[in-house]
Amino acid sequence: MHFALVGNPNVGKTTLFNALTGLSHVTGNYPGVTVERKSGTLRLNGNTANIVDLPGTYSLAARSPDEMIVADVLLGQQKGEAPIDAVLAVVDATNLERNLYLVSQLRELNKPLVVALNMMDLAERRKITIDAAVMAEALGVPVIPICAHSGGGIPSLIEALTKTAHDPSAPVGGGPHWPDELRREWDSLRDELHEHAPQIGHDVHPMEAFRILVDKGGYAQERMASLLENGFESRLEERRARAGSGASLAGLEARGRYAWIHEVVSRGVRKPTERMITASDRIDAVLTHKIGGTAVFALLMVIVFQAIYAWAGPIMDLIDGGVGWVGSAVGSQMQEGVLRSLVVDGVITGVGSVLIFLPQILILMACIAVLEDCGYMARAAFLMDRLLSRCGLSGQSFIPLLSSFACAIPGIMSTRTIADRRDRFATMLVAPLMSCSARLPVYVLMIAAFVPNERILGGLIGVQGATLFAMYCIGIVVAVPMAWILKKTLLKGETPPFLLELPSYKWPQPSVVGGKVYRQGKEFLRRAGTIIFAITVIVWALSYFPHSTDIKEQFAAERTALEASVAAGNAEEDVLAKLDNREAAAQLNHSFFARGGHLIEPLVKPLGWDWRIGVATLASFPAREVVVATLGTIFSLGGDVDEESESLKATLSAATWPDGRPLFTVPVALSIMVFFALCCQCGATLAVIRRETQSWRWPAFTFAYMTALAYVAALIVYQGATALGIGAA
Amino acid sequence: MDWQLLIAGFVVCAAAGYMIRRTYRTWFGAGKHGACAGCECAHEAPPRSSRPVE
Repeated sequence: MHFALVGNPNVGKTTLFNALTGLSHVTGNYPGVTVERKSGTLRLNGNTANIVDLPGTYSLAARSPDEMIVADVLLGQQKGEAPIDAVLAVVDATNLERNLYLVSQLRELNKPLVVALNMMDLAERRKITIDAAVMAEALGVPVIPICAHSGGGIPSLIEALTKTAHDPSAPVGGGPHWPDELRREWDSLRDELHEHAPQIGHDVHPMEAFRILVDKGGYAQERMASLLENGFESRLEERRARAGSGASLAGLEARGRYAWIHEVVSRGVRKPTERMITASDRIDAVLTHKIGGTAVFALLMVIVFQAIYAWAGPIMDLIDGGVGWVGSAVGSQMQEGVLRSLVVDGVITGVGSVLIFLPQILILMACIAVLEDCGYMARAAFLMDRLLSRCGLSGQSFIPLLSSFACAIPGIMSTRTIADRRDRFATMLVAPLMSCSARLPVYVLMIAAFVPNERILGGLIGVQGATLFAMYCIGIVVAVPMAWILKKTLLKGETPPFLLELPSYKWPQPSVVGGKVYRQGKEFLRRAGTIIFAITVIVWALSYFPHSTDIKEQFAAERTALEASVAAGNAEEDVLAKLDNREAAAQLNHSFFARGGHLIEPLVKPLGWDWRIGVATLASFPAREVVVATLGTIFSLGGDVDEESESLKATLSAATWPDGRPLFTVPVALSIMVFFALCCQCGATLAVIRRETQSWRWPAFTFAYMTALAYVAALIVYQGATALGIGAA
Repeated sequence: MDWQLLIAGFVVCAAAGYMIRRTYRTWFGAGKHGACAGCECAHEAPPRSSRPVE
């Protein structure tokens, strides 16, 4: 038996799926979390069945890509998916009218249907009484009250599903009433499509025929038009005119369905005549307020970024010390030579420099997960709708953009829910501007090294935390005009309407928050062990070879003379260390990397960078966090370090230009951060844009505009900060 | 030949090979997650926003 789990977004579908299958999945608290296919084994009484969790949808009138998947799976037309035998519909007991709209469409599939009335606990608190037996009779299908969150009613649901598996029967009783004209044209269309079955490849389901007739310009129409000859669409238009007698068919459908729903609800549901003011309503009065809500949002963000600095410090120091200890221990056990340099200067210094930032990434992810799971992010989407609508997008784009703060890839993938192609593309093209977690190490390194650790506003706000917050704001500040330009030029179109359901507030679940933080941490360590490790090794090789014997011999002679002076007491011991550093710098200057670096130096010099920063940035185009590892390796090999400079932060502070001027200053640190904030240094993000747009043009455009934007912004910041004397001693 | 150089050469070649394979799989791979096969982020179920009933 093959079940499909269907429901509106944010009705607890994924929670129920986990309860039924025992599998662990991500759950969120803003409308809907499922786009990709998920399936599991349903443990029935004495038997098992397969269940597939479908994307949340309000209706079978498919327009966006994920709604198309729902329609295709339910009609048995999804490639690679076995035909569905029965449907389990999850509905929100506190909002039955809207949820039953989808149920009324699912009934017309003529497949066994079980309705799970979820959130019964919330309905009780709101004094809504639902008689499940009466509802079952009215709907003609089993109706089981449950509370997926606590597991209440799950055994009864499993019993009902077991019964359906043993004795599958289609819904009984009538559904919505349709006008005679509509019914006549629907029948006639079915006859026409039946005649074309060989050409179409299957006998069209009555429900599919209904969708073709009613959804003007919808997915069902487009697919059928692509299979049949040109005259089909003009005949369809004539049918629509006759079926609706001039009125909108979508309106006719909505009126027909809601009339039936009101009849069903009036029989089985009792609720207070006046809507109760809930705690969520009271909180929303503040959090969705134009001024109050925006102030709370800004305050929350400031607290999050302050927390990143306040809490991560001790753990970071611990990791930093551990990496230093491992480097010294391994170095002292290995013979001097190329392999020791690879292990100590390359792998341990490079990868270790990145690992230090794990605590900060985990704290940021934990804060975002808590805000998501308690239901706050839907309110943030509501607030952002005002801002986004001014640049031609809507609050619908906010959730993909918000996801991009963790990683742009799921953010870009979640644009599949946006029905309008131009809005979808515009959202996708600005999503990589949001500061993902890979940018965090770059910001933290630069801020820790070059932004003073001082407090302002009476000690309330730390300058470092405020700078980090500003870096995260840059992406949003640039994305808004960029989206506006795109919507006025390449992707010209109207601002789409946006209707958002605000879920009730709830305490965040530790398992959900912990799960998200764990996955993010695991992914960061996996990248450190794979891509960062590999690029670090390559960067080390390019910075180490060709190792010049001439330079070695030249310094060997000088070393012998100095050793003799030290032994005779004519020189301090640190002259030998200084000589080692000079030799390392000479070898680095002779390397392949330096040769390439000197070629690009004229290009990066206006940004205040030397060739080392230039090549480290270039090496980080496949994955931006690699820059930290690359800087660690280059500066470790280059010997631009004194004995106290164990951490990369201290190493960078000690780095100089050949004339002895400090290399890293506040303007340079700012220009590096701004460049990394705006540049698209992620191969996987560009690849997913190519897949989602089905074109090479859009990833090429994204790469070009973001790189140009990053360069110009970094140039303005460096030149401006230098002219203003920022950071000057 | 220096044995340290041999081992280091092998590690560098393996790293370069890994990056070439990864780049190929990311852009042209037909793996479970298609284009972004190389990125674990693609395994996360992306969130979705809501849209009104038609």
